[in-house]
Amino acid sequence: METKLILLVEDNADDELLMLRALKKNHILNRVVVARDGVEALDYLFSTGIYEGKDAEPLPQLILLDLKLPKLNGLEVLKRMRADQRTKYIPVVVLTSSTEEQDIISSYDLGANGFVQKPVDFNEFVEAAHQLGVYWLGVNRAVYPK
Amino acid sequence: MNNSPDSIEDLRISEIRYRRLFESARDGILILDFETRKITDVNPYTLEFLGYPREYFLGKELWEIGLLKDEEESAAAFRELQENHYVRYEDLPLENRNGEKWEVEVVSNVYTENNRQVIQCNIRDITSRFKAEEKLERLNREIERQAVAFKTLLSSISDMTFTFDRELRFRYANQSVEVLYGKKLEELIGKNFADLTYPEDLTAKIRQNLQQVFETGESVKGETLFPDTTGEIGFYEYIFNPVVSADGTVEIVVGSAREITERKRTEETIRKLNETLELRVAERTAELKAANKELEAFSYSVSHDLRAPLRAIDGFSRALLEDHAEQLDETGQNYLSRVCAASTHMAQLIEDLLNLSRLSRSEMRPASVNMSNLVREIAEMMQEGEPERTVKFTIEDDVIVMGDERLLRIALQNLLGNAWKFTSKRVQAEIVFGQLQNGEKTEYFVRDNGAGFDMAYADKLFGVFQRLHTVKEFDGTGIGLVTVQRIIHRHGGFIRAESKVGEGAAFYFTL
Repeated sequence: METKLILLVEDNADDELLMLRALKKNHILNRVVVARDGVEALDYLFSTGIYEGKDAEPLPQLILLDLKLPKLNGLEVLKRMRADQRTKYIPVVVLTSSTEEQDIISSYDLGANGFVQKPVDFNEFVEAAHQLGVYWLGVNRAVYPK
Repeated sequence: MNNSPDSIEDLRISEIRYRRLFESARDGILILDFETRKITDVNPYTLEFLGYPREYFLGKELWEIGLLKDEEESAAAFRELQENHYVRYEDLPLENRNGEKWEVEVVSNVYTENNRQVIQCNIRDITSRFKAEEKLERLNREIERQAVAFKTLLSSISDMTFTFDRELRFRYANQSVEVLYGKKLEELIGKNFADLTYPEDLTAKIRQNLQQVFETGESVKGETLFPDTTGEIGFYEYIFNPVVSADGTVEIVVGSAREITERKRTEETIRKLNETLELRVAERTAELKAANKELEAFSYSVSHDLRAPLRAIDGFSRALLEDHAEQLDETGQNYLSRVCAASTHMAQLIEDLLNLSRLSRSEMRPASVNMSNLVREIAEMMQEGEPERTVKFTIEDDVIVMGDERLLRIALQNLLGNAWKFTSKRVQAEIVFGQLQNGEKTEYFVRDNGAGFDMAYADKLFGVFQRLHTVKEFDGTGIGLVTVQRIIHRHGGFIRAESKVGEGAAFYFTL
């Protein structure tokens, strides 16, 4: 059985720490891999760049994707993921500060599975993480085409 | 004289014929004795004509029956008769017995009868012919008079009027045309307009237009450039109208022309002005669009960039509280919880500011809005949100206005939300919505019986983030009323407030 892995794509160190803490508080003990920008995220998924040559990394069960990333932004990452057979079906939840409707629309347009706003209030943050975990890691059924 | 039996018979027949003519003629015939000049015979028509019996005429001279004026004229007439054996009066007046006046033509001949000289006077009634001639002359004079009046009229107007015949020659031109060509009417009449000094390209157009009128029988309008006597070129508009005869052909074209140089110049100026204006409007619109875009980018940036550090502040404060509580004393924990509260508050402020700015930028979509329904919906929602509260709503029906439904909803939400909030400490909370007439204007109002405020600070009500209560008393950022005011202003209206501390508040607005 594959370990249920979460890929967190987040450039902000504070947000990263808070997210990890939130997941821990919710007893979500899955391994979390963090990518600090869009390029790193894709490198991980496709075993390219910094991940080249190493043993193939397992594909994540869930990807938490921030939109504002250096180098390649979140929407770009999403687009490329959805274009590749290997990563086409991996659930992606866009996690971002933005409430701009255009961002939400674009995310769904490009194939995101969910859109959650990062709240300022940390408790809400934890609650959001809890709900994410319950659904995407528990109830939802994922698929990994060979 | 031949006395043969044939000639006697011929004579007799001749006599009879003559007599018959004499009797039946429809002209008057008088026979006069040459020596005495007296009437010896008169035919029936004369009697009928003049109304006198035979006896009246016999033995009288012509002037005695009114044919000639007097003896003198009679003498003159006879002298001429003697000389020429013929005299003719074209037109003599004659009055009959009833006083009716006639005009007659009189022809007199002398001939010999039985060796005596006899005068035969033929009198023909030419009254009707005379009257007709007289009428004709009168008509001609009238026509002449009207023609002169007409020409004078045409010459007194500043437009040019003219007439062309089929050979495109001037038949008539008014004074303005004379001025244009610097020629008198006499010099223009009969000249083909092309012969008068003309630039060829202009001639061609006018010639074509004229010919078109002659051929089709329909008017032609046009505009053209034309030089005057000084060589200055002006703009003229003209119209050629056909004069259609009874058989459908056009013999004459009448036309008029007017100088429109000034008008053309003005039109050109206006056109250029409009172009410049449109250009400026386009520029201004582009500037506005750009400014709006900048604002949008700014808001977007704010919504991302300000929130992230806030999240960190709040998050880690809480983390400290939760994970390291034992390392902090009560004061420390107190401080940290204040930090949390502050960051939450700040987040709300940012949210409110962003909404306010978005509001000011958004487009208005005017429609007919039933505010009573909106108030009812909002009241229901608020009640659902806090079911334990009992608030009595009095909502006037059918308050319908023209406005943007979305914006009005937000405004009402704010006003009602405030009323709801500030009545929270009342046991029997009451909120009223309705409309009333204040002079000429219709005012809409939301009134509550809540905490109210001191009117002395009323002008602070609508300041951004201004509050008249502490957060402890009533929660809020103080941006609600600013939002309402902005919405009301965008509808071209005005909002005012009335209140007494402890007796509730009322907000009145127009749209």
